[in-house]
Amino acid sequence: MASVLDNGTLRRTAPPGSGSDTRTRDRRKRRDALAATVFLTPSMVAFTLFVIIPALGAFGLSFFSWDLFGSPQWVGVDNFTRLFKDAQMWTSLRVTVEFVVLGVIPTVVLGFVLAVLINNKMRGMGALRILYFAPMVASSAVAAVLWSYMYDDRAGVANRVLGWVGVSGPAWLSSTTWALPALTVMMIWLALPLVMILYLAGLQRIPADIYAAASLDGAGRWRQLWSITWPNVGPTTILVTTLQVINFVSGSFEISLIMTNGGPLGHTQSLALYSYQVAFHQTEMGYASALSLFQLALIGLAVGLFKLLSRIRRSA
Amino acid sequence: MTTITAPAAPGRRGANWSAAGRYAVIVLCGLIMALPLFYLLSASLMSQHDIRAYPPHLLPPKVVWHNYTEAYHFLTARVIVNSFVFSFGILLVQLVITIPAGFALAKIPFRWSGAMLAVIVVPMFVPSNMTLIPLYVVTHQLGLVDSYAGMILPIAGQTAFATLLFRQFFSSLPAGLIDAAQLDGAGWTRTLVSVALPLAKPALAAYCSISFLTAWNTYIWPQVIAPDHEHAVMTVALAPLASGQYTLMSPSVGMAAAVISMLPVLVVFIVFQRWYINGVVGTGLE
Amino acid sequence: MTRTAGRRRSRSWAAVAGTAALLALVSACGNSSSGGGAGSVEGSKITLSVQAGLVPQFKKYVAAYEAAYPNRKITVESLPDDATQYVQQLVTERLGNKLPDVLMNVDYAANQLADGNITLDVADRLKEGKLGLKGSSFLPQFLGQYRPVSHPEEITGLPVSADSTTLFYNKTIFQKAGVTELPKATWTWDDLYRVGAEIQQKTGGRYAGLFPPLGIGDQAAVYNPVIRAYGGFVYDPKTKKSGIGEPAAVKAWTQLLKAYGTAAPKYSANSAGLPKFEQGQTAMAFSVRATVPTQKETLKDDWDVQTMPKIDGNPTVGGGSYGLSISRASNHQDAAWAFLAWFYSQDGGMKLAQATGQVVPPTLEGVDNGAWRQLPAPPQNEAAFAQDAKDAYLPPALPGAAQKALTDSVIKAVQQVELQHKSVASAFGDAEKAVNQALQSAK
Repeated sequence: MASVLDNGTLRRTAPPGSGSDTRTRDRRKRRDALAATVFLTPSMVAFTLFVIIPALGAFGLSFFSWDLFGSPQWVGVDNFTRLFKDAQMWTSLRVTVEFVVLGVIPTVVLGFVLAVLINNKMRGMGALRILYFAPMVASSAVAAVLWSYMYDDRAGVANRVLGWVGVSGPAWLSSTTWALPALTVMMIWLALPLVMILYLAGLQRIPADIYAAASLDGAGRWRQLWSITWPNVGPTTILVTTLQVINFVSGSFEISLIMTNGGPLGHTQSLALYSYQVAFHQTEMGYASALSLFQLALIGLAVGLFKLLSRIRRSA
Repeated sequence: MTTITAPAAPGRRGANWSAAGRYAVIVLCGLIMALPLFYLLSASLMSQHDIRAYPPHLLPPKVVWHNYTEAYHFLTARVIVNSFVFSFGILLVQLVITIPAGFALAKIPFRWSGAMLAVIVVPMFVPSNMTLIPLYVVTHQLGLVDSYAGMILPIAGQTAFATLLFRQFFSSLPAGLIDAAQLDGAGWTRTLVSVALPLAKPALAAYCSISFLTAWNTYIWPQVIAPDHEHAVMTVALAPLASGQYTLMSPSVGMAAAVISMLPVLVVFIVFQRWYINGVVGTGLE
Repeated sequence: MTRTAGRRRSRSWAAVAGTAALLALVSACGNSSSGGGAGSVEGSKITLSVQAGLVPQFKKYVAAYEAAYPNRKITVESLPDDATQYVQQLVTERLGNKLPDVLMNVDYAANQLADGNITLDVADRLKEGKLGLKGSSFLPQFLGQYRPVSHPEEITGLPVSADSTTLFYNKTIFQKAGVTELPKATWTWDDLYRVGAEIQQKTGGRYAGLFPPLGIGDQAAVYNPVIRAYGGFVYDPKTKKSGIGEPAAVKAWTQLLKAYGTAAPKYSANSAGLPKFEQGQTAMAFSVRATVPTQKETLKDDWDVQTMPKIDGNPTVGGGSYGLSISRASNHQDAAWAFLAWFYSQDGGMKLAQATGQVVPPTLEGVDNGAWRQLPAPPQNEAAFAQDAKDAYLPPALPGAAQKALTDSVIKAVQQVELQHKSVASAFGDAEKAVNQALQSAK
């Protein structure tokens, strides 16, 4: 995980000339370590208290059977063996994969393209940019309610707008075929502003002279976009992709909870939503924790595979 | 200028045309993005018959301002102040603790930086619902239930996103820039404050708007940790408007409430958006 | 070398921290199940938590109570409206020893809260009639919703309103459709469907004839009594079996499902897409007394209510309730009881509650002679509410996770029939199997 994000950008900043003198180097090292400790401690204390300990608590709970109201009972690995026999778990897993496959790449690509599009100082861009960031001001709960009105097959504006171009839309959220794509479109819309903001911040760091040089070499604009801009925002792409995988894997649960409650017939019930329902509807906290850990393990596995593949490709 | 547009003068007329075309594309895409929110605005002004009419209306046939007064009824000055205290509290605490952390992970060479990064990233994939109860227990053990500190610190402690963002930003600053400062005899603190930070405006702007907004829209944690009315933030105060089992509020009123709660965030965006774009980078090393 | 050692160290550190966190959690649980006491009434300060939507009303009741008893103070706090978040909040409050003294209980959660030792058994106090609050004055089927499955002799909550399903109809829409036949007390379900379909047809689908009886498949208060009227059963506590796939039940389901696309709009899986009575979108709907104030405020059309239609002469009234419970951990149980005694008295809280128009007192006396019957129309036919409250069939709760399995299985079966054209018998046969399986593992 770490090295995917790391991307080998951590540079050793030993100033030239000081390398020969071991005493200075040792002192530097000590000074660096001290600075790193001071800089990191406040953040890590908070992180340990409010993220790591609760996460370990969830991890611990997966070995218990706990109905939220009684006392937890130790059950060993029962929750994990049950997981593999649970048909609903497998369908939820499939839905999660569908969300990620349909959602992440379009979000990242569209976000990049739109960020490039609005990254200029043309007159009136300040106001225009607000249009692009507007979806972000809606909380996911508000957005979910809003879009379930829009998707309504009778009174919804989505089908009305489609009607203008001669398409008669289905009952989006009641269709086993269309519910998931409909939710994905809504989630892409909701996620785009964040992606664009991060890309904009990334674009600001590309030195202008690279473009000037490329133009002199006669590279066209599309060529520049693909061979200069895109590689130069690589670290942002990695950050954005990570965030969007998280978004479509677990952030999606609130949206399907409000819009479809996982239906129709489980076609939008992601693993995250399933574990939420197991936890607080069926009040089986232990099993729900096991489900989340399983999800975590799968993501780790996917990242590992991704790394392996890219390594193979690079060496080939 | 840092944009890919900066056309290297392929004839004046061509440039004008492409600028106009680009303008048109920008406006069109922007309108599409904002369309659902225009509908939200429009629906918040509809009567409850019109919002669910068949065939549907895009604009309110009759404007009902009353929805807004009804929604506004649920807000008190206290609630609005609480929301600002909560959101700015999270923003400030996180800024103070994550900027140095991100910088250290990006620029200070030390042994555990890789491992630390992994420790920061992995918990991001644990769904927050699963950690809600343990988080409550921790906060309770610290004696922070029913307090602003209890609302703010546990959320501010979720530092992964901010740390990663700043680390990622600082790590792409040219190494020579940092080295030069170090050679001048600046300590790490001074390097951070006077060299790296001034260059971080776009990242800071991005972070501030994202973090403020996320905090502003958080519902479940403030509700769980401080259910008393003294600490109620906007999301909690407006919750009754989302039609529950025992309330049959008009959906338009709920939408009006949503619009009201969005206004401060919109202001934040307008303030910060000018910082998203700047031409600072590249100075110092060419 | 140092790296691996460091890793091992950090791993064992993680294990220690994890165990510590868990221990804290468990010990926190242990703490809160102890405690609780009578406390004194005068000079007491207690808290009361209800779902957010009810907070404004309860603030009014509390203000009246504090005016009557100036040295007793009550703070009103809110619980989330959403069922899962409501559970979440109670669990965390319990872990933090922050449970309110009086809390809102909901029929579907009553068992869970009782089994979790959150709610106090008040059966003895009710028998004694302490401060004039007696168990015998409540409608037994509504009080019965707060008897835990595991300990039926206990009573862990008191219903606030006798919410029983009643037929609401919009006279204006009938008029617009040119339909003169209004619902009568003698109506059967076939009459209901016939008129609903007529309205839907004559208005070209602009108005729904009827809110779909099954909703998205989640209207338990509708399907339970209908299945019973056909001679079937949803759950038999004696045999601990579900009968939703038996022939009698299948007849009932067929009848209920027939409404989609004829008397009611086509099936929609999204509740937001269903036609709302209070928004003047459907000519008829089953609803409850609790919705009357909103209807009054928002529905400008002329409307009234009628008793539920019958099947083979049997009433098909269902219902539900929310209630108030005293928390077992409360140190002011007497003060909490004193508030409840005032709240349920006809000239105390119940008077105010009825004035909102939202509450049919769940007491025999209240149903027949309560102040709510003198409120201005609409609805005119208040007697329909009284009749239905007495006829209401409230189904027995299923133990543990089986309740949720029932809810889920029925929605699934409805969707299989409506979206995938599976036969009613096989869809509900499968549903019955799923529920019985859940019942088996709940034992």
